Amino acid sequence: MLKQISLNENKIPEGIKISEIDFNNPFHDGLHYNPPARGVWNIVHTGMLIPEAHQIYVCAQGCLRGVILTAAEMNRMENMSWVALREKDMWNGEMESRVVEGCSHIVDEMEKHPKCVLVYLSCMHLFEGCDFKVISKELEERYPDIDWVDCYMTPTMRKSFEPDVMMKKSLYSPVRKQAVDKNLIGLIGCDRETAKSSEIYTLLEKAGMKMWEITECRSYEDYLSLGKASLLISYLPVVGYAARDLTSRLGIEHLAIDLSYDEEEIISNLNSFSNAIGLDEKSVKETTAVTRSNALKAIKDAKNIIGGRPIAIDSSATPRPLGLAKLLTENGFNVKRIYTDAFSAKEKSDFIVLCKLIPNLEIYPSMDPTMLFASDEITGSESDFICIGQKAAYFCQTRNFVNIIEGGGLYGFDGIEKLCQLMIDAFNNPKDLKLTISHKGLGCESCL
Amino acid sequence: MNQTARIISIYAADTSGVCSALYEYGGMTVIHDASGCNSTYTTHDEPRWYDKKSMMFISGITEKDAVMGNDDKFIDDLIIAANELKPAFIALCASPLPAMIGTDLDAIAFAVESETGIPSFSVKTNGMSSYISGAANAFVEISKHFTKENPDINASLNMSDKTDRLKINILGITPLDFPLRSSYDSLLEFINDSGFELNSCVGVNTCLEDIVNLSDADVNLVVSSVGVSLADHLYDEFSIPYVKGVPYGKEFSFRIGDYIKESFSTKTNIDSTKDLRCEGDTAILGESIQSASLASALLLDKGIKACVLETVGEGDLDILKPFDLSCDDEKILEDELRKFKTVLGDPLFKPIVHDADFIPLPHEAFSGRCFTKSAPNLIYTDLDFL
Repeated sequence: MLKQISLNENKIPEGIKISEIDFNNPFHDGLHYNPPARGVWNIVHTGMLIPEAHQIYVCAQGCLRGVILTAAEMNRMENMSWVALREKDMWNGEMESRVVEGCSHIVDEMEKHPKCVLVYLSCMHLFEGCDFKVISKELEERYPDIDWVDCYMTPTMRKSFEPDVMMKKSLYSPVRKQAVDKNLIGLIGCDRETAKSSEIYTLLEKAGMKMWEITECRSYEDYLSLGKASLLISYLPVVGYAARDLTSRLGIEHLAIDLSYDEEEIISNLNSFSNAIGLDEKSVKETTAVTRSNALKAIKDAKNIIGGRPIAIDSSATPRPLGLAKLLTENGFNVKRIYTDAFSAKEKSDFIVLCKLIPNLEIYPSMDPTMLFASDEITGSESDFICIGQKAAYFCQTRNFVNIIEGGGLYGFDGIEKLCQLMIDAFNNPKDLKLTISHKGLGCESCL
Repeated sequence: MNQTARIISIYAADTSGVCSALYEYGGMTVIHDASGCNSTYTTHDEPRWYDKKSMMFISGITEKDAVMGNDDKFIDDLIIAANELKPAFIALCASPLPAMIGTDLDAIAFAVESETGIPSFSVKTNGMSSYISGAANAFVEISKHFTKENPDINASLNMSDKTDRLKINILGITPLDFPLRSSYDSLLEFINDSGFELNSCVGVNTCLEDIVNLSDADVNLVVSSVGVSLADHLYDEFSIPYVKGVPYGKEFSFRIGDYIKESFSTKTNIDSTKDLRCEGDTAILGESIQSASLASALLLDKGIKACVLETVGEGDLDILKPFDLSCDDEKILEDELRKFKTVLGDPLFKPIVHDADFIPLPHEAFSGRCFTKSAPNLIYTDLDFL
């Protein structure tokens, strides 16, 4: 049953109890509100991960504005160009030629050709039935020295292909098969660095292998060396489509070892990884003996310091907010709220446990129009919440929050330990909420 | 090449202009859009978003809704939200896709108003034009719906008959052109020092009552292209004349003060820059009325002759002189700029200014919040930034 969130007499939205919510369709998907938390990356931030690449957006002014200023705030305008679509372009049958001629003009204006150009097409092209293959073919023929990558800014398609998922696929599409380096593993799908202290790296070291991560690529050649990998791994959910594309094109196997806060799942994933790189389960036991006990100690330490302070988690901070809520609740924390517009199917079992464990856990959407009134920043009154994630911090109006997105590069027991340390830091060191969450693209350079 | 840029930014779009214009009037403004317009507007085009609540939403249209022409979902969602939030009015505007498939926003507004009883209207946008047309259209629409008739208006009065202070509306001020609170304060200071009285300031530091009372004014002061359509509307409907110009510097401000009195007496619309422009080796980039005003102020206060290079590609082009240029093409602009010794403009134009001295004048509508911190307020002040 869909729930319509409503305002109370003070115009503040009221959450829905987890025990009363429909897992598959928690909230009515009506008008969308946009909270002022800017840490989550968009397709511009992700595209900038390819070294020596250039981005060209071909779309309407309204769409261009957001992506161009994303680049401007990153101080990366030298890597960004655009072609604006006007009303006449919708009817004159020249959509393809506008892309081709626009991109050609931009490349011709550059002192040196970039090694790779990401061309982003829009919903308008899609609805016009624009021939993407003709565009790619023409550009490849005109500029054979450039890798042309078709990318999509098509949010109307978000119910079937999320822009983030499409972007992850485009992100690796220039990578071609190379002679296999048996010691190279490719970590795909992570925009941010993964903590080197995580069990993944410890096991890799034991196996005498090394990791390819896009965040460590300094040249286009570094980036292309993913084509040498003997195995691809990922732990974030948005990478599935990209992984399927890579495995079919490069013939490299892909192993998903999902980020989790559940002990059994963590060990199971690490065992799978260990097997894939030629280690046995003993290696996992040895590795996790230390990290698991460190994680347990960190959880206790955090609980001792944070005590009964209410905790809120949002789904921009981690792909597993329910799993994290379960871990914290089972260890005595006072988890009161989750902010999410939908639940991942992978969280069903955590959902069932939480319904029994804390049936009054309040679930809030982040995009529902009523959420405009969820925060009370005008009066400056702060809540006593400890939050994990920018949106939760904004809605709860607290300066005590863990500033991470998409898991924060924290994985395994080591990730839990680090997260607990960040929670303690959030408790001890309040942040400037407005300044912190206004920064677009957490971890990126900003001119603000 | 037309519509193409290698390195410069792009101006805020019409949808952002609508939202910016209607921000403070207690209505619910909804962009019929899939995703992106909302975050673009609230991140880059709306400095009030964090500190001042306003009901600005998007519809979240999907490809299925678009292909199947599912307007019912949009109408239902508007009604649900309106019943919960109880806005003073509902304004709708279109992003490119609904514009492309010809969504009838007037009909949707009518359906929503019929169901909720809340005044509802659409503002013409397509996501492919600049903030100027969006904001201008929004101001006209809200005025059409809320500005009261003024039976007391007396067109025969002139300055000598006028016993109380002239009432002035300020038109065309949104954060996209004037993001600084100090700009508003300086405009107010100018109005007061000139012996006038502020009737309504349309766009910022305002409320719906200001729109209702627009017809009480004696003269409208139009400070950007965003305000021209509303000024024309108020002239047509209520015979309120207007003066175009931003009171930059001191001497030019005094001149505008005189023109306001003349405009009231003669009931004519006046371009305050009309006799104050000379071709020179300084270029001012940006929106036409602000740029022409700055050129006039520089001439009066500093003796600097400046040409205007209007770079939005829209707006009040009547204010431009034969030696000015309207150009939104990066390459042509880059070539034109080689002719000048000094260029004043937004910092994101700097990469195409090669030989001239560049003086940064941040413009929110072009560079968003990137340089707001370093933006000077030039209104009714000594132009010492040069």
